[in-house]
Amino acid sequence: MSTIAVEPRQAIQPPDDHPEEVSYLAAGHTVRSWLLTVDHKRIALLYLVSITVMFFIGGFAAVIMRLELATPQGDVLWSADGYNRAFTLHGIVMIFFFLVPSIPATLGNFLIPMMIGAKDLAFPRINLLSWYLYIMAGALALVVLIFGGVDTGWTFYTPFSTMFSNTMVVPAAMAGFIAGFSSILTGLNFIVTVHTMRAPGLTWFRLPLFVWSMYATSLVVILGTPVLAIALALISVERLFHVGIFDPALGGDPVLFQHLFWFYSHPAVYIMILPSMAVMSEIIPCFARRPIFGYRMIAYSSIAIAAIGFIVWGHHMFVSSQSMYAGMVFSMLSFLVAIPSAIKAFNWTLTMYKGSVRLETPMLYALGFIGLFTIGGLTGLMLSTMSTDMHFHDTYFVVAHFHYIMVGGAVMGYLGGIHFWWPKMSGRMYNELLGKLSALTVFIGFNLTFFPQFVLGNLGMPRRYYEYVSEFQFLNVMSSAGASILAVGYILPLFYMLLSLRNPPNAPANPWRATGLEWQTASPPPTHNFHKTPVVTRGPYEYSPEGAEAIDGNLNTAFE
Amino acid sequence: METLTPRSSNPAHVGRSNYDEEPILGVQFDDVEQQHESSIMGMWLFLSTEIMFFGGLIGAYTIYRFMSPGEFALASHHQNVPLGAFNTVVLLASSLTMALGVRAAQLHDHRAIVRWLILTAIFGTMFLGVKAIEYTTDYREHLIPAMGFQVPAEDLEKMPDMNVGRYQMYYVLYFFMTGLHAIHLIIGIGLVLVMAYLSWRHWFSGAGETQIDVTGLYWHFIDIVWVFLYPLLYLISAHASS
Amino acid sequence: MKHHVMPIRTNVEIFIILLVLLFATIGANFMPLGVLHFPVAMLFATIKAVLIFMFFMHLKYSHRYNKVVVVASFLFLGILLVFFMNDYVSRGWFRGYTDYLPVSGVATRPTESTSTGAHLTRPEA
Repeated sequence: MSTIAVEPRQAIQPPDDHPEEVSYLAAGHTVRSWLLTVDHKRIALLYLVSITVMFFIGGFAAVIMRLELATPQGDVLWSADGYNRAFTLHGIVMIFFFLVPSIPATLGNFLIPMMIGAKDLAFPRINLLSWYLYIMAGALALVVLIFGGVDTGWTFYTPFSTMFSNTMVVPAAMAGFIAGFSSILTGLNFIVTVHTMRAPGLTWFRLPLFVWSMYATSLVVILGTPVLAIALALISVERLFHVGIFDPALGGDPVLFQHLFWFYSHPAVYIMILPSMAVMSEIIPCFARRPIFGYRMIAYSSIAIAAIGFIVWGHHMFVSSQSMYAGMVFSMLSFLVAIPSAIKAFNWTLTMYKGSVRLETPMLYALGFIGLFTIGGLTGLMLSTMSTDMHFHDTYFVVAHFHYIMVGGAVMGYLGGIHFWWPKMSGRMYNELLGKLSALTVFIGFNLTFFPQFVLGNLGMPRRYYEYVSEFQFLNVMSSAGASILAVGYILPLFYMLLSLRNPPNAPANPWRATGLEWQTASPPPTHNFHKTPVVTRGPYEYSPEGAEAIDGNLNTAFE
Repeated sequence: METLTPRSSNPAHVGRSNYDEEPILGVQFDDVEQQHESSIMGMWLFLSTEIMFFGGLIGAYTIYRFMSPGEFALASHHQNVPLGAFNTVVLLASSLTMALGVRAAQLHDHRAIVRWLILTAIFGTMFLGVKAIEYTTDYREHLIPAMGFQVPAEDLEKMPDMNVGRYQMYYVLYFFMTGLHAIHLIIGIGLVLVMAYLSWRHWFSGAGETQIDVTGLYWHFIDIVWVFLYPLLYLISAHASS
Repeated sequence: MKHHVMPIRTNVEIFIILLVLLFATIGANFMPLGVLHFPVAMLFATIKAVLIFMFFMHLKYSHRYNKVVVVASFLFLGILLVFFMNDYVSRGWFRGYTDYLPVSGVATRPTESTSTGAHLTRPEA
């Protein structure tokens, strides 16, 4: 923080007054200009469109599941097998094709070069390649999952996936493999960009916390994804050649697959949640008009979450034949993750203390995030305790827990971020009233959907079953009703954001009076972001309730 | 797009006079040093993913070998240690020629670049040839899993209570690891030949120093993988207890 | 661009050291080293890898961050191996619920029927 205190307020970048330079959106209107673009902002929009499609496909599978579970008998789907295929579709699409790329590939792609004052990412063509790989993997996955169907769940657990499942496991695994490549290329690009392309004066501790978190995410992607790739390759080889890598009858050990799988897939949870935390650290100071509390601690805690996230995976395997001793080690290490997570939650809360909080749409999403993430995190402690996990394992308690993290945390953060940067990305303001309504609907719908599942899990309802005993029906109906509210909450932003595109560009360069470099250029930004490389002379969150007020949305005080 | 492409692939442009000059600068960069550093760092990060990629396999190998050291030692004795050693020498030699190729690129000596890169590709191909001979022998001795695998009778005699599946597991992992290594090598040979061809055509600016340096990093990494695979797969001690 | 150019002589010297190490590895394989076989082979392989990293791949003259990348990758590979082994080495250390889990399709039970009170004791090796 000292760097912030001693630096005089100086010019970051003169306000953009070059109307002759066209925005990145106007730089070309042909299909070719989009499909062959190397502009990080256009690639971000390509990702935005494709993951939105994926989100609604995955969501549709969830709707089918909740419909099926509204009654104790199996009646909507033709069989238990159909239900298995539905939740596998939901899991694979939502995790590999929505949550993992969601914030990094859209907001990260769009914002990282702008936040560090660069013209583009270090490898623009590799960036485009990663989108094409994503599309290939996504198309393959959709064809396989919709027209073929896979019944293993997104975890591909052996020996079911290798010896018993009669569905298209190998193509689905291949889709995961290719999607992994796509996210590796994105992560690699981010790390190199942050290292080599920062604007003059932009030291590590002047970086926005968004960049810090995204950097930590990229580290996890780089170190974890290849292990998942090899695990998927191994099950494919076992299925194709029947050589028994994980088959006990042929000398294999199924638990080894779980080790390999969770070595990636537990850190993958942090790939999903760290970017949301990145968004929070930008939204909260802006709408509280306060400098972020404990900048360095939040930065370090991102790295700590990434690092500790790698040594806790065994808590998914407490009831496998993993040794008791290993379980105890993993259990203790799992508690450690709570520390950096709590540091963040407390610091965001303290940022708001004595601030002048404005409850606009992004801030509503952010507040929702803090609450839901806290519930998700604390129930995580219950699951990382071995003795209680015996009771909760494979029940709806686990389902509720990880949805609180991944939907209550990651998706709320994603939507908050989209609302926050939509004026920058599209040049348009959305309807604020509808925005607030959507944040509220999502929050209510989400809690109504998933809170009953905590109770259901504690009562003993197992996950992944399509029928249940009739005592559970009341809570299940509640959950299904909540899901329909949640669906409205998700469709609403799609509706009013698309509607806002009908207007001529009406967003000022800095509608939220935020301090980040990305707000110092036009909305939407020109192709190379800045007319001249900005020189940074101060920290990222110089908010104050009185000093930052400006007339036209620009930080006049910042320019001399 | 145009500004980012360092050189048009149009044959008419090939051999332009800026082969020896500073490299063409991508619009996103401020200077060529930044551009070079970024590419090198990008490759190192990619190699880091490769370490974890092979690392998952080495993890599986470690567990199974730990659980059945006897079976693994017995199974590994069918490997041809001298042939493997020869192959290691070949790959180390290819690393030397690659390093000299990178050196030639740093000195903008395009004839030397082409010479060393082609030599590198030849060594790489030689490695694959020897590997093919080894695979053929394994096939004749019924040691390829899923292709008529049989535990040799003499090994069953030596260790009547062996876990046959674990014995085969050694070969599953052997073929998976060496096969993955060979795939990397084939990609490497392709890359090296492309670089040689483009250097020969003077396609690059700045003598392709960055591009050849990055290719070299990838090539040396394949060598490092083999440096670990050789003792892991061939040299499970002759004195191991069974 | 000015980068460190290594003389041909150094390159060849490194190559020769690598060959010597290779033959040392093979030689060690046929020596009666007992349990030390594996550590010795891995030590030689690591030295070879470090030489290739440092000289052939110019890591010695490269940006400091690239060194961090390599060290960190091997560190995380180490984490993977240590925690994998942590599980497999300690299988059966404590008497607990795992004794009742089916293994290879056969349900196994602890040998002593009083095992409920005998938690956290190490079974006979």
